[in-house]
Amino acid sequence: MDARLRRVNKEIADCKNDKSTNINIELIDNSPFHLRGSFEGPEDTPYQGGHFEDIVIPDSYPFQPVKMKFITKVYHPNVSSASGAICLDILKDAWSPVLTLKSTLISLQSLLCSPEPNDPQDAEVAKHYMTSRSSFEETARYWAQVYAGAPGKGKVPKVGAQDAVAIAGLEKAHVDQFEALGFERGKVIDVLRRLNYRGANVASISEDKVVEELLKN
Amino acid sequence: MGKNTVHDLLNNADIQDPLDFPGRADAPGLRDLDGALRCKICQELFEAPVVLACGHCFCSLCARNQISEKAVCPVCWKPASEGHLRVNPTMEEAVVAWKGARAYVLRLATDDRTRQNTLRGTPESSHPRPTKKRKTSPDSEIELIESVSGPSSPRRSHVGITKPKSKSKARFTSIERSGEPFSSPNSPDDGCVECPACARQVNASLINEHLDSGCKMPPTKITDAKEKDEWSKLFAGKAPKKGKDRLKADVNDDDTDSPIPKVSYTVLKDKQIRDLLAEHDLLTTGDRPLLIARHQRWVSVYNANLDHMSTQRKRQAELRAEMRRWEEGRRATSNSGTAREVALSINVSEYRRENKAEFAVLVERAKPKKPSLPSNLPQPQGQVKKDHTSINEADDEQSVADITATQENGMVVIDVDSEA
Repeated sequence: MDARLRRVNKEIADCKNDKSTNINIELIDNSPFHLRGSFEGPEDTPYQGGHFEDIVIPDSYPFQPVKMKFITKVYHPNVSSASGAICLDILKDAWSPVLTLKSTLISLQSLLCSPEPNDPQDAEVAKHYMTSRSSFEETARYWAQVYAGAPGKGKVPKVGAQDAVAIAGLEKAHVDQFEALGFERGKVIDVLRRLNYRGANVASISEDKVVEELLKN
Repeated sequence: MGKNTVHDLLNNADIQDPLDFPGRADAPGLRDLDGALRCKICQELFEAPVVLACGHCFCSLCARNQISEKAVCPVCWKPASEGHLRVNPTMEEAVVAWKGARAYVLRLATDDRTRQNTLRGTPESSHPRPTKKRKTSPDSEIELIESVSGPSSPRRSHVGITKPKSKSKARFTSIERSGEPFSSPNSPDDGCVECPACARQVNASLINEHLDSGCKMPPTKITDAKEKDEWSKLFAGKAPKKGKDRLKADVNDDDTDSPIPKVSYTVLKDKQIRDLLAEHDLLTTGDRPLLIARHQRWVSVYNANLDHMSTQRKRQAELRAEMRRWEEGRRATSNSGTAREVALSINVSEYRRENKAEFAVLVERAKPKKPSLPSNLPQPQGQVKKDHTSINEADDEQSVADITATQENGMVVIDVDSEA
């Protein structure tokens, strides 16, 4: 018990003293075992900007892995877009007591650099990633701007009805097209996102199929 | 609030770390040296270092805890087992030496840096850590000096002169019949001379008798207290002690170095586990998991202590104090620390119950869609989703976050366990 507290103290100090990594750790509700870590989105990725992390340190740490999830919404194949749950081996089976908070956070940072769509946490995002990389990156960048405070190019986006299309990573023209048929906008976005109506897929999914799906709900 | 508390936490705790030392530019190698003598698991200087089969070195207790959790080396993932642990006395010597030198080296290093800074003309910025260390270092140094000077002149004279006097007097009281002990160059106080034949100390008045009898020692009468001791020793050897007597003997007898064997708790009844605990004078309260955890902890702590060099071993009283701290820590976390997690787990089950209908609806909605799904969506999609729902419902350890994910966004496939 005592050893765990000592080790966590050291790890927090370690992050604090290391200015080069830009990793920050703060306490939540005054417990050294419930922390909030933050790091910058890696450069040259759509995630440039702040991202936050929620850290819970279990009783049997360091023999059991820390529990981490994203508080900030992140558009990434290995991160649940709804809950922020992270699919990363070192947070599960591949955990080893020699890993630290700092090294784990750095691993997460590098996970943002190199998504692993074949082992997805969020299957829809993974499909989007596989179908059209550029469209995926655009959406990821948009999420980073809206949720993680990343600097936007010129325009500062606001979360609103207008953004729903971009948040879902769809083309405005496609949504408008089906909305014009008399369907509710939210429903159109929902269906198109589920069908992965993006990039090359647009050609392979017939309009009839989309309408069929829309009518079903 | 966050930053302040972190700051307080770090300042209140007197925790040593390789980062206490100046960086590579100022003091090359010192940080690395301090890091190399630390266990990769607890990040403290090695306590009773042991090596695994792969050659990596850890504190004995850390290695034992790791093996009971997962039987691999945490660094290289090669298989490890408790039977393969080998003590590493050379490393322990190095750690003991470094423990003695650390405060001094740290002071030298920080002084050196301060001097260089003043030479360069840059005013020393506030260094909370070094100043703290400098404050503590004189204490530890004095302690060090005391412990070093202990066995030197004053104590040695004490040991050399006064003690044997009383001791030999006790031994030869029966031989010394005449009231006045006469002194000779060989025997300053108690009238003994060295026998030229057997080199034993014999009272001068009895030396002739002694030589005539062919160097037989006169039967020395054992004093009453000693007699009792001898008898009790005899009894101790033969009759197995029970209950409190035995425990007392264990406490006194710190030299026993046979490790406690591991126990498979599944074949034992609660009563038997309690007996095991009572055998080592441990608490026997609590439910079965607590009893088992307590015994496991004691076995680990006890056996790990045996991996120390014999001079570094802790006394059983210290181990027991450690166990008490462990019990307190357990109680504290069960009261406050895990309260949040407990609340979470309760919420999870409640949440599941409350939203059961909604889950069912989601599952239903997922099912009929299957045939009409577009060709590019894999068929087992719905199946996977269903599996996860059932996993969520079955697995109590699933975090609440995942559950909410399934609920809030019916389409997201949560892949926590199966694909990891």
